Amino acid sequence: MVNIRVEDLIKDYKVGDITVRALNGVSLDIKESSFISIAGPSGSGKTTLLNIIGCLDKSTNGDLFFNDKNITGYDDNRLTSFRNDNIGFIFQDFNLIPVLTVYENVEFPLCINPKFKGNHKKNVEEILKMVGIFELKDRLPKELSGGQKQRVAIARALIKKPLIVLADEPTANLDSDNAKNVMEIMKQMNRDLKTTFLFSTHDKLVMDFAEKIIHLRDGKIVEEN
Amino acid sequence: MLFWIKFAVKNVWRNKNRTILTLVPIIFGVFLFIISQSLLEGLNKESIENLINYETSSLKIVSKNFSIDEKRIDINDITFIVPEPVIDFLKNSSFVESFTYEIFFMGNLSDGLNRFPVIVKGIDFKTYKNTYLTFHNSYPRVENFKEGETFIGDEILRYLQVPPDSFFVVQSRTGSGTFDAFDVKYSGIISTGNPKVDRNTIFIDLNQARSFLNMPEKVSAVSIKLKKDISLYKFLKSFKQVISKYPQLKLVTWEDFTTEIKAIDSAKKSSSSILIFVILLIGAVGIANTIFLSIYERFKEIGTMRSIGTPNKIILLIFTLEGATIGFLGSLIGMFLGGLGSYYLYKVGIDFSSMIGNMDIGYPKNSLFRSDFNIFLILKAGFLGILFGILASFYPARRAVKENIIRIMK
Repeated sequence: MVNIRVEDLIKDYKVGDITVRALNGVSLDIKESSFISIAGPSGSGKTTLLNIIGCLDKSTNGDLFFNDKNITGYDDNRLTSFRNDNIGFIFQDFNLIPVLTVYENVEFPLCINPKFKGNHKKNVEEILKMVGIFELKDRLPKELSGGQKQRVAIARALIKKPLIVLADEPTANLDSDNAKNVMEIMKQMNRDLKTTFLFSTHDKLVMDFAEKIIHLRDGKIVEEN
Repeated sequence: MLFWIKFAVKNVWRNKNRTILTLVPIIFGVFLFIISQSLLEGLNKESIENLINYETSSLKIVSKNFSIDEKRIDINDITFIVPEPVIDFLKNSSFVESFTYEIFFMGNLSDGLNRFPVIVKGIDFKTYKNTYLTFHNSYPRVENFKEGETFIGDEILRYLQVPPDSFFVVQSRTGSGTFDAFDVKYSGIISTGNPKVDRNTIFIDLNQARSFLNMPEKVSAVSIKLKKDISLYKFLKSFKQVISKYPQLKLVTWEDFTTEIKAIDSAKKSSSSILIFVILLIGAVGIANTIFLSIYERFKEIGTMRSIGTPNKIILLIFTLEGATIGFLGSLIGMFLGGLGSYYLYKVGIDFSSMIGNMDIGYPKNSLFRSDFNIFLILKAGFLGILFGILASFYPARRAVKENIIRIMK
């Protein structure tokens, strides 16, 4: 079953007087519980595509459907609310909040979502155990290794059980062992929680985990396998 | 909400030095607010007490020609004979603690070498002592003083340095307009803290004053002291019916004498409020600057929060709470220091005599200023500090939600 559909996406950026086309007619179907990698050289449009699917940026043209609902015309407030309910993010630089403990960082998305009123302890501890960092729950991000930080970021992205998790180069700042571990956890979460994962990467090792790889070049899909 | 408060407190302590520097003007502003306002309140309260205890009592019966603002006393215009029914009413009223007759006139006090302009007050010692606290502050303490004796305000004796039991000559116009003089023996001093009494009043026996003025039976005023907890307005309601039968008389209450004090108090409070507002404004600019810096330093973090779906109102709340936390911490320290300072000034006071000397400051009180220790004033100051913190952080917080997410994440 297809739950995210991208139709003929075009994204233009203005750089001074010049218009640069970052995406040029990208169409894509993302099925439920899939684990997809977007590959391509720098400047191919990977991050732009993820930003548009993640509702952080708007396309110049084209449509974006979530469960057959076209969300292209949503205003900023509706998009914020939509992200809050449906999308999880994992960033290359982890982007944890430095003054909050591991537990609080993971709890954060529940605190901003009115659907999760009440005690969050059970949910947070459960996800921390799933990603294997329960014993680190009282530590601050500065007391963690890169791999541990990315596990916190995965837990934070999954805590509210989103429709899709978007990860922009999730292993770029990790050594190969940690990168492998992080990918294994993401894959396991994909299997156990049936959450869709869409991630961009350059790394061959990371691509090997994907069920499907979408190759982008110059803003166009050149290959899907 | 507890999560966001904890988050704000943690964020405020990210850069301790900057936070401490931001706190300083808030602490100073709140401290100064408490000290200046409690001193002015104390000054106002003590002035009114001094007025009631030494000048006006609860109210006075005076001649219709009497004017509070008129400094010159024309003895023929302001004296009157107290009607018997009025005396009977006062004697029988359950509201009245005591009442006393006084006659006052302008004169010159001379020790033979120097002359000093004074107000001569002829009083009935026993009833005066029950109505006013003046003789509770006399040296030596006396139970009575006889015709021919005088008690003099202590400030007058600074100019006329004479030993006790010395004689003075009092010169003045009599009731018939001719100049005359009489001798009085200096028996003691009065030191009330009310400059109007201490600087220019001498007290003599009522009969001696009447006899000098050639005005037997007459008085300048009847001062009335009401019993504790008796409402002035309740008494006036019944007493006005009696007084209205005598068109030559009128009533003036202690409140009528406070117009000048209230005007000065209001002017001083306004000017000190402007000063404090400026200091708190500097504090607010400091908070706004700190929140701006914090936002610029945490752009990526704000971007992350917004990308995972944090609503704008929560981002606004986070930074407003940070401003409020700085305001609260500054206020708390300012309230503590201001409270301590205010309590010290309440107990010990501060003597401005070296600065103002005998200068008239417009208040009926001496140069020792005491504050009015008021917990509500301290809480008000704290609230003001927090309010400034919230207002100062609101504009920078709006900046955090207006930036483009993609741009601030880079």
